[in-house]
Amino acid sequence: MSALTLELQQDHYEPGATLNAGISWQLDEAPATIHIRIGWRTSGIGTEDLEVVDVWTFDADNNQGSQQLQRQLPDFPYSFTGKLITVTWFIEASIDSQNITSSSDLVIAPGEQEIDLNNATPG
Amino acid sequence: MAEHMSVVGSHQKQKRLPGCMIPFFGIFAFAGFAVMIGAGIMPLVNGEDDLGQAIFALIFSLPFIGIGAGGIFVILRQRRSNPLSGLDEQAQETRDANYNYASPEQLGLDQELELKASSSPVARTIVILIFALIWNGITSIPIIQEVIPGFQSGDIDWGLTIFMSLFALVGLALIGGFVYSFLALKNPRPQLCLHTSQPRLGQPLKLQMDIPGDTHRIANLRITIKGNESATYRRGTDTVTSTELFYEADICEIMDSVDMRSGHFTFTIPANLMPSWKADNNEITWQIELKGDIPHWPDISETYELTVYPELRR
Repeated sequence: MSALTLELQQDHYEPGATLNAGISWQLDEAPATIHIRIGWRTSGIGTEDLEVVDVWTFDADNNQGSQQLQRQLPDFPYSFTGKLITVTWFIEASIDSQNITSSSDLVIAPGEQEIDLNNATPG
Repeated sequence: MAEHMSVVGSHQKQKRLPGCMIPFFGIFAFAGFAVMIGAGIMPLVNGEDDLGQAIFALIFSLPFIGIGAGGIFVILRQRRSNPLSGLDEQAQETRDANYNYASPEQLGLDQELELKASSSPVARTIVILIFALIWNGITSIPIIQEVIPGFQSGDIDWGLTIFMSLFALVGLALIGGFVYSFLALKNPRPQLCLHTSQPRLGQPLKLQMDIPGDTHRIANLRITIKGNESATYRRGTDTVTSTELFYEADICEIMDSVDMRSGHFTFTIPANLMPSWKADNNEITWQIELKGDIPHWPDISETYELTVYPELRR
């Protein structure tokens, strides 16, 4: 059975920091093209907005293998959560032709901490 | 899954018709259709003699239908389209600002930012006046032609009378709104100016306020900074926008009318919050609100949209 695994060294980042991750695969069919996507999506009461801001691909020539990923992350929008809106960054690896996906959430915000708007009002 | 573009607020904001104008345009279109059907098509279908009046009603109704339908079309179309395209520039600017020496241009210190009120009092008054004239003009036709003669002859159609009374009440409220808005034109017009064209989170911001004219009538003046989340979603066939305040802080509160004439105030938006941000259906907005209480007179109430940029980090 085919499998695709994403391993992040960390999942909280400063805006514009460099992402370090590893991807490993075990495939029934090779070669295959692996797509890596970095993007953000909203959740909450509003209709979902989603944007993929960075996409790149590489070929998996063998049935089994691994690759190190290094990529500069975007600056904006920051990861945040409020009463109505939450913005969550994600990294996703997929082999579209075999319908295999592995993904992980990221936090991209100053201080590597998700911004919390729920307790922002002073006094 | 549909993909939407993300957009960061920009000073070059395009003028867009707000979604709350849909009912306004809807009433325009509805009034046009009502006149077209009631005074134009129905008399023609019924074979009534006054062909000229029917044609006049048809022509008279077309601008209303055009403005109403056109306005709704424009609002719905601009919602589908991507309104701004400032992300790349903003992201690059932020990246430059974060990792390089921040120049005065990047700090926005090379120019001041004169804040513009979200709506002009004159424009607001004219819109209310036009709307009141159209509303009362249309609703007065059946009142003059049917309801009043019924009372005069003693043959009162109570159903029509009660029905038209509701429209007449709305018409009276519109006249009241116009009078209120007209009186408010006499109020002094505050002028607000920020020392930087790029206000940022965590940066001390200097606000200059000038109120030319008569300030002694103002009993209390308060300026606040507010941050809001806005989320738009579909509920049945309606598009609904919910707004939630996540930050509010006083910039100043002044009781002395002499001090209201001019002053500058420093405030800071906390660095651990969200700057302005806009996607298709979700948005973070910042506003400066100015309220002046005037006893026995319409108060001063102005809102100034503010594009807040991310904090500079070196």
